[in-house]
Amino acid sequence: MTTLSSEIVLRIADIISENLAFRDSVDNLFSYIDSLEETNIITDFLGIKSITGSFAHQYLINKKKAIKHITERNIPLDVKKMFELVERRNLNPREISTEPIEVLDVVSSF
Amino acid sequence: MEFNESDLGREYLKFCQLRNNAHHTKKMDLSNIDWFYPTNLLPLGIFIKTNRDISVIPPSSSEVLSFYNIITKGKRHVSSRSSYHPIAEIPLDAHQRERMLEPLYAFESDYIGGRNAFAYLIGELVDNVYQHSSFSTAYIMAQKYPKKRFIEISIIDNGISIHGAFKKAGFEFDDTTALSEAIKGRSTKRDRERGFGLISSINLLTKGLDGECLIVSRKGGFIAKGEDKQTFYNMGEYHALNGTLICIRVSYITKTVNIYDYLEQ
Repeated sequence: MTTLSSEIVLRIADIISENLAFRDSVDNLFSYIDSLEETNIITDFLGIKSITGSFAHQYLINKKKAIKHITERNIPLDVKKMFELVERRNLNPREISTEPIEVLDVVSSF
Repeated sequence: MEFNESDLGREYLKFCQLRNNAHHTKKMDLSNIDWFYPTNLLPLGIFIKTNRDISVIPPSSSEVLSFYNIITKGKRHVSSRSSYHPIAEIPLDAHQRERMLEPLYAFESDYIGGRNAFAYLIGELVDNVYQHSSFSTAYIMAQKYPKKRFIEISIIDNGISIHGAFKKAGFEFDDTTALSEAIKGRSTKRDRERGFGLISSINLLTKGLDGECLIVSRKGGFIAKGEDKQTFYNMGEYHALNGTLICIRVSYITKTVNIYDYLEQ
């Protein structure tokens, strides 16, 4: 973590993990951000190896709601792709299929 | 596809038979077991743990007994060189979650389409448990089979089930319909931007990694295998499970899979 006047850099890999999976981890991160005095937050994604769509989605939701100014840096290509995928999903929510499903009864062969 | 045509389905049926016999006889007879897979060992381990009045007749084979003892000990720290990840509790504490999965991420991921594909799959499946099941206990285990060249992972929770999660959100679905709605991408959070976790994981698993998936949640069942085979099941009382069990089996794939080719757009 590096502080420069009202700005702070948060290394996500150190605070959470190199592999970002959980929505609740995003909520914890933003609770932490809320507790900081700084108003300009830089989230540093250096060293992140993987990210789930759920993490990326929750991050974008929380960032949108945040009062503080949050910017990202050092986003690895695969992580950037996930954020872009989630943004596309947000712009084009899909319809749930209404096609009937085939259901079989389970019969034990023993 | 009949339930017992699937490898995971057959292993789950073995668990059901052992469990139901144990309910009647108050004995869990494992003496004839020739091998365990996570799909039967994980629910068996949890069943034995929560039914202390049932006595266990251990496996006759010393090799199987040794494996059974190791896996059910529930060691927390496992070397990435181990061929197994023993039954481990999924922590309720949000601060321990990411670290808990670290040994699994290192677990042969190079043979499962690369770290990105493997981590995505595990991360989404476990996040689903946290987001929807309202569990008090949940467990995960994994086993790799270098000679057979596949890895199998199981996750079980004692939560409200997929049916219960929809009910909590105001949807009235039976167990199998609830499972199918979840797999089609309907979110229990009533948010059309959500609900991608399960559907995208199954796409990646079956189409990208040529894997197999079994889900049992109360009386609802689902098996996906390969590109096109997806079947839902009424499990009935005999094969029902309180909570939810998710099992995946993935053959070794040494090439790196581009997950974005398979994630729901």
